Amino acid sequence: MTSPASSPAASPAASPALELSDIHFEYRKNSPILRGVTASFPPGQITALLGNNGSGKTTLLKLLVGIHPVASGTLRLGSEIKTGEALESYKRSMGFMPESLQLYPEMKARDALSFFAKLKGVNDTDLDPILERVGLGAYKNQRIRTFSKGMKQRLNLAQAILGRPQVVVFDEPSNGFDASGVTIFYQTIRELADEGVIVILTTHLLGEIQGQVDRVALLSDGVIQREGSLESILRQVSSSRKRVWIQFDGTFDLSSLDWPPCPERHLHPLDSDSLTGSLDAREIGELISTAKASGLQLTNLRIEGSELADLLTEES
Amino acid sequence: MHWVAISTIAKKEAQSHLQNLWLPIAALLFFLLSLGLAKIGFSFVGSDGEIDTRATVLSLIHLQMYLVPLLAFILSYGGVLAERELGTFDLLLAYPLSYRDILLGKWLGYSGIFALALLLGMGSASFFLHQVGLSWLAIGQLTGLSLLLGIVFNSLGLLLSTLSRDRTTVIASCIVLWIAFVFLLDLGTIALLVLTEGDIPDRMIQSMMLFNPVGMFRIAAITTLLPGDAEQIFGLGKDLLSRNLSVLSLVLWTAAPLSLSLIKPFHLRGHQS
Repeated sequence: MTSPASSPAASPAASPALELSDIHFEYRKNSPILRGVTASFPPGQITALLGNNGSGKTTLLKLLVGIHPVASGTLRLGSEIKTGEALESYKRSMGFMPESLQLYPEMKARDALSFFAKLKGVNDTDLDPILERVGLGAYKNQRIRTFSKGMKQRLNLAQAILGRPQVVVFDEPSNGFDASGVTIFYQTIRELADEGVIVILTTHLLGEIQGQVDRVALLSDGVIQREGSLESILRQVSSSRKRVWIQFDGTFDLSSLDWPPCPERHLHPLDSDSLTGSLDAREIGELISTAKASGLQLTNLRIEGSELADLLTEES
Repeated sequence: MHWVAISTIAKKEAQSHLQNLWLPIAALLFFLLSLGLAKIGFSFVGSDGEIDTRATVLSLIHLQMYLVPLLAFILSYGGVLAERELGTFDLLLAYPLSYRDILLGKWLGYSGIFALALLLGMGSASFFLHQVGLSWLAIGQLTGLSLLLGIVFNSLGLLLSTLSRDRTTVIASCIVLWIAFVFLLDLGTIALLVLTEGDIPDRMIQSMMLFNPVGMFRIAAITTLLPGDAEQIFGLGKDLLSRNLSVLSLVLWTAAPLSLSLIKPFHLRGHQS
């Protein structure tokens, strides 16, 4: 058998998608958390899993990474993953970075990584390149307790990408990264996606994900309500108007919008690359689509008094 | 069972305790207190002018009864708790190993490091203990039985660590168990004997003693090291003081909590809807 360390991640075309079908889960009898989740996570794409607090996001992630058993429904990566050898093999091909993770403070960075590598069956020779990749090459022999929060988060990232995984799952990864760490993080997961890896993350930093992720899956009431690009999902939702601040990575021309005058929108530019207004979800989606058509990416989106998940689950 | 994963976790646990203060403090306590008892042992001289080793042996057994459970609890109570606090427990479960592998690896690591502390401490004091008349075999037997008692409390500490997410609750539970096993259960047995004026069946006393691993250690140690004095020390009949039964009981006291801790906790199981 080829070791995960030596086998490169397969190309997007050759790799299977991670597929969930009718997954149910509950911690206590008659208190379902997941009520029939069906979703597909394609290779070579970064998917953001959005959902309100208590929507079952973390539970779903724990099922995806094999912490919880799939008691009802199916999880497939090519073949079905249930128990035994199939589950072990899946876990070997998977990377996970939980939220608020702190690797053993008394260990040196490389030793900690070596510990996890042994558990996964990854060669020790692969560790230095990974540490270099996340910008910790010079600190590999330093104890983790001396690291800044950002450095610890980079080490967590290194742990997650050990052994060239086929699937990588991140729970709220942006928490704790410094500015350059966020750049390294998104650059690394984009490289992984380009290599055909399935990348799944949860986040509440909406503007940040829009420029970085390919797809969004919205989890609400224990089921995936919507899947697709953020703007396509936004355009399907009818919500109330919210005060929003939007920023793009270049100059945005408001006049390019083919919208009838609507005083309620109070839409006006704040700067050459940012604007504010009172918009509903559909209008935000259209705005993002228009910007995309002009070659612009959204870099920041703030909604007054709510999260994007709230807006997406609101049906007024 | 994934033995590579189990040994990797055991090694990591042992190494992390090699780097912190638990090992030197535990070894130093074993050494200094045993040394102190050895020094006192020189003062126990019989009418024939020879050193009477019985008092030294009894003191050493009581020292181990107090010290070993406490040190073992300190070593193991954070086993699962600390991993949960760091967020690494979920991470380990996402690796190709099972909940049982993690717990077994930790238990082996703690038992290994406990053995090392005992060997260092008692080994350093053994020369002085030998000088007051303890045979090398007796020192070895006491060290072995102390290790068994330490392993029992490693299992108990690990079990308590799996039962709560709250550090205060785990620490409080360890203290309560330590007080109960070291003092209260013995006092309870004595109180019952006094109240009933000794009118209770022998088998009932034996059953009560089986509920206390520290009491079992004492019986095992005294029947091993001072076999001729055991009946007089305990005030009990010979048939109640079985060395084999007490050692077997200690083995069961190791296996039972360890087995219970290996049962996957409720919050990791989930149900089929």
